[in-house]
Amino acid sequence: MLTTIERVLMLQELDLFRFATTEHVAQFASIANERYLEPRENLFRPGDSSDHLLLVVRGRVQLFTARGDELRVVEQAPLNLWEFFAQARLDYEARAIDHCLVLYASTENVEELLTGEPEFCYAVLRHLARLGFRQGKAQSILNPKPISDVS
Amino acid sequence: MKQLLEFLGVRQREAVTVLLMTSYFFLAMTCTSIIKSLQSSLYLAKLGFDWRLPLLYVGIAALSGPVVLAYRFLTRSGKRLRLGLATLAFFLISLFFFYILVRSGDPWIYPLFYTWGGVFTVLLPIQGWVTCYDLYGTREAKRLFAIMGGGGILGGAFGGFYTAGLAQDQGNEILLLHTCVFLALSVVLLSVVQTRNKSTLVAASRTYDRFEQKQDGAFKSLRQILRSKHLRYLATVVFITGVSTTLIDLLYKWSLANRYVGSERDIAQFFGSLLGAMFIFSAPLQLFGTGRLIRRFGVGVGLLILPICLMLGSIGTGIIAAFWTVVLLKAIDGGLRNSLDRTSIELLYIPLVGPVMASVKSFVDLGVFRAGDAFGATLFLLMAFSVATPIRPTAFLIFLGTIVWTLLAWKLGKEYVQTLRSSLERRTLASSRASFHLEEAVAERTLTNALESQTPSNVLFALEQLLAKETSNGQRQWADFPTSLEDLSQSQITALYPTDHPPWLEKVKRLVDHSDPEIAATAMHLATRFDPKLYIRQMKAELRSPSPPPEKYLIYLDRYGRRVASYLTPQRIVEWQQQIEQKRAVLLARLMAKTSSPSYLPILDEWLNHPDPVRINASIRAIGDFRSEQHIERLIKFLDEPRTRRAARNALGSYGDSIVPMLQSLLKDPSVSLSVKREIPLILRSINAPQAREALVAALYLPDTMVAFRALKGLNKIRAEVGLNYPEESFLPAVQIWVKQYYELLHLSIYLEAHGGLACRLLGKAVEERIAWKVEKIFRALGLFIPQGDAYISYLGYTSDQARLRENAIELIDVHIKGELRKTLLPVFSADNRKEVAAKGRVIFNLPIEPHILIADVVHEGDPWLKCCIIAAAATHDFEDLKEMVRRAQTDPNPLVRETAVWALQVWGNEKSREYRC
Repeated sequence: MLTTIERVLMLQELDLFRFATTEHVAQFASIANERYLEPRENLFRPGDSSDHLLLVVRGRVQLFTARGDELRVVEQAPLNLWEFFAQARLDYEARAIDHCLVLYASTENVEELLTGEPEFCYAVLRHLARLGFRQGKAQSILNPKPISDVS
Repeated sequence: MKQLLEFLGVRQREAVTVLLMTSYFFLAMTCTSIIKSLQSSLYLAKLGFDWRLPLLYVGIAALSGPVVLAYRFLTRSGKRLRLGLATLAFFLISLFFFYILVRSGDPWIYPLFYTWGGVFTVLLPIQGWVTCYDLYGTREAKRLFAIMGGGGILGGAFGGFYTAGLAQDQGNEILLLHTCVFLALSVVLLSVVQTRNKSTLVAASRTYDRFEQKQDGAFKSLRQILRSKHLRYLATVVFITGVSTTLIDLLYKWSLANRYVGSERDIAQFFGSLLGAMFIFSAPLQLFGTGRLIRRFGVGVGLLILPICLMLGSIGTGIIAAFWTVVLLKAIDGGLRNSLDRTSIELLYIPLVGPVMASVKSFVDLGVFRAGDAFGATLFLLMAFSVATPIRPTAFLIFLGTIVWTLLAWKLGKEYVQTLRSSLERRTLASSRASFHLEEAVAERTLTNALESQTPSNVLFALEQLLAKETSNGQRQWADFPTSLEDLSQSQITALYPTDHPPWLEKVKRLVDHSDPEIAATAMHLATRFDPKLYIRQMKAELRSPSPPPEKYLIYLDRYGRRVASYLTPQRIVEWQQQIEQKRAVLLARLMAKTSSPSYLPILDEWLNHPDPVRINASIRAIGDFRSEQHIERLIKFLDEPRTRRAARNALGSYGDSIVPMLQSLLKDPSVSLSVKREIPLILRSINAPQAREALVAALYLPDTMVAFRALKGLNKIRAEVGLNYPEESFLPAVQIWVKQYYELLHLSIYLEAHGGLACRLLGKAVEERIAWKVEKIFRALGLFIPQGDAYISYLGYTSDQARLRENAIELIDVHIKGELRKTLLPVFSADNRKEVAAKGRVIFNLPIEPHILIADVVHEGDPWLKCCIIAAAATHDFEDLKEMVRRAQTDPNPLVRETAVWALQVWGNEKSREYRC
């Protein structure tokens, strides 16, 4: 089992914690658990609930749609960020490409941490806002809405 | 060279521009000095001292107005940077023409030359200063203006002696030609400075242009002066300086004309020699005294020295009315005005926003100063022709003028601080203008209509507004509910409550049965003010029932109810507790607390074990209201849980100062968890009693950064709300400790820059966080003893991305701190190069150079998280010097430190540790 400091060393590289202080990352590390994946091992399937925040800290994980189409490769990033905060079911599958280490924290513990540490909550929110803004902007460039729709 | 620059306070990157500008001021003041000598000597020798000379002063003042307007028009319409060079070129050409004209010897040339000289001697240095304002901020100006001014003074001295030497041998006319050469060189220098700093100057010029576009009208400078208190004082000081110095100048010229009647060369020689001598005196004062004096005592003191010296000089002249006492008075004026006084006055323009400063400066320097000249000249004219020897009456007038000057300068010094403050406030504090203002009748109609809105929040808002209006209306004061309303007769009730029903009452009554309990409760409260009997009776009936009451009654009692104990019983709540949901449980917990009856404590105690955390929190808060001794220990345990932390904090805060000794002992107890300790300053802050405040001050010195930081925040809030009566000395040791830690961390950060890898990156980030935190802590600590609000706005200014705001912020702090603190603290802010700051800190606190000793010092300071990061970095990078420290950390009271130390020793030097190196 990893120590808190080892987890922090890996978690600090994640974009999710870019705005968080190292001490807050340590607090997250203290509530996280670890799971090692063998290559081709499944982490979750479509329809699974998003009751844990899953973060790939080592190795690569491939995401597939329910029909088996490749979505994207996740490396040093959260796997189910939006679904976790939206408390929505997962509609894709995650499979390890190589030896992976995934850190995960339960909804209850993450909520507890976010409510207890407002600065950490703000740091995560800031990351989400930037991510959403970037994605929204990209989407609006790729699929611009007709003027009538906008009005 | 490096040491010279360091001695002069000039950074390496600034050196070339400073040298060029100093040379410019040298040449400009050489020209000014020569022209000043020549205009007086030529005039006095050819035309003598009569009524025309004071009138010329008035004429120059009258001319200054159109010159200012023309100059400002050109500034707006043309390129600002080119205008300076064009002005210099104009002077160069016109000077050459005067050389030709003076040689012709026509008597009309001399008054014209005198007038031209009056404008020339003012506008020439202004070109340099305006460029400097665009180039430098407040702090840089404080360091560099004295050096540049020194160049000017040396130029003035050189010009004076040059005139004295050449006038004797070759006559005055040739000096005009020489001045053309000096002027041409100064044009070249200014153009080089502008080319080298084009981007900075163009940016400043753009800001200026934007500002200019927003303005209109011919007298905007005057309006700006009238609007700003700081500028009003500044303009008045400049005016009174003009009056006093003109009186001195005319008295001096009168004395000179009477001593050397008709001798052009003698006058030029004496004039030049005195001018040179005055500048020679000024030079060392300017180079070695002015900057230090202003840095040490501030601008306010710098402004006072000249008027006080002149006051003493005028007393001397009044007692001994002789040529040499007048010369002495002139020497004081010339010696101090061009050095200390000039620099102090120039600094007063800096806190103003760049464009305001540039626009006002030409108006004040030319218009206001020359108006002072004109007024002084008129006074002298009246006096000189009413008495035979004007020395004593003029000395008396100068004495009066300097008294006013001294008082105004003192006020101006104070206003300077206020201007720094407001320059920061304007930019840092957001305005909150979102307020609800409506005319009485319109408001009531709008709110009545809103009661029928489909949006619940609109309905609630309208009800709350009507309620607020009713409460603030003196005729309908809230009356306590009669406990047995049924016993009261209708007439008694009618007598208690108003009969003039407002138009919205019917709508409000309908809302009492609204599905939203918040709306229903608020409507009920409003309706009860007019018809209490019905609603209170209904509520009582519901509260007697074994089934839980509707939520609206609980909200009503919670928000507006008094004597809640008469409506509730513990038995009823026991009956309801299994049937009620979260929201009603919270309300009931609050109502139980409101009763203040200990009979409810067992129920609340039981609720502490409920699975619903919301109910637990409500119970914790309610228990706090009871201040039950037996629950303190349990409440402290709740501080350790993130979900119950806030409620436990509030509950413990309700105990008041009786709990302070216990909280203090918890802070000192090493076995108490850090998360509990970190909550204690927040509790102490909420207690806000003298004992709690003392405990907060003591907590500033505790090793955990978060505990100290929260204690500091608490004290800041207490000061903002009720004030603090602690002397500055109470906080100085804490500030000194943080400043020292700041320097240590800075050293560590610089050391880590050379190391890569995950562990060193983590340590580097943690160190940077601590550095930023230290700065905030230092500002917060300053906020405990410097004038209220100044530290806050300075911090916002300091952390802003605008260089000028940063400068003003540091300047404002600089005004308030002194002694040892000033010496140690200012380098933290003033230098922009981290390595330079670290080097200064090393000297001040005698910090070790060896990294391992430095790290050991940081570890010793007891910040557990930083300790963990250091241990991780030590293990992954094989810092053998730190191994012993890591071994000792295995027994550290903090579990995270212990865990990290054990891990570090396991992986030290092996393959696993190397994973974190890359």
